[in-house]
Amino acid sequence: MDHSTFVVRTVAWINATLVPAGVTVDADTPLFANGLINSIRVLQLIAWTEHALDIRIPDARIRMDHFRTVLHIADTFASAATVAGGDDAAA
Amino acid sequence: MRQRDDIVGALRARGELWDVAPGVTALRGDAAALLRDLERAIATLCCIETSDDWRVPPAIDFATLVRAEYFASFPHWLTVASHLRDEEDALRAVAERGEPAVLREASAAPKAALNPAVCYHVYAALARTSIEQARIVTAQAECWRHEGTRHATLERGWAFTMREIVCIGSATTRTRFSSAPPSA
Repeated sequence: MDHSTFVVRTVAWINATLVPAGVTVDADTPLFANGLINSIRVLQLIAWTEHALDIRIPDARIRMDHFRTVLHIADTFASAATVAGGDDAAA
Repeated sequence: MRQRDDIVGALRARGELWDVAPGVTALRGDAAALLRDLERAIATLCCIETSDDWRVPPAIDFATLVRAEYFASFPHWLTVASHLRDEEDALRAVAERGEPAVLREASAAPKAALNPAVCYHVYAALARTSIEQARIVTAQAECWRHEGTRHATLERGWAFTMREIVCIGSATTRTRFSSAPPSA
């Protein structure tokens, strides 16, 4: 999945699945501000990213900075996944 | 099915649920009994996997969290533990006015964190040791995660109970354990 497709699909998935009713995020929305994505839902977000990009994210790359916004996630993982052809980006 | 807000409202009305702080909830009566039953049932399930049931303390040292790279991952959920400074002026101010601002001024730098998870205790206890075969440990403790202002009573609390099964072993062992169906 390429960068832009990942961004569009992830924003849609977060709005449908993760955020509270009445809240809408976009690609630049800070996901951790004021507890928008809590400590359980971030695990779902990591799993979604791994599944969507067909990669395994090593523990060392599970960092708040990498998941701060959907764009950050895409910049960190989608580009590498595209270059690597879907293999583990960090291996 | 009844919605969470309805259940919380009914328990509050019965005096069986109340919050002592945002995300810190007390239970008694039927709700407390149900929670105890659930804890026992989950503990029983965990003991099918392992009889190595640990009792861990309610707080963890910072060095362990640093070694586990907690602060580099998602540090904003951490709750730290402090105490009052052993200084007469500070203690007198607290005795006279026990307000949050006075307490903050009279507090020492935090020396520990309240558990963000249980597994860190297992990692710390087994660090710098060699194991001949995979170790599977279970433990339960109170944990704290400050989720901003979006606490939801009986759903996401600042303080809550966590029971974990921790598997220590090779990558292959860990993958096999986490992907295997529960033991019968």
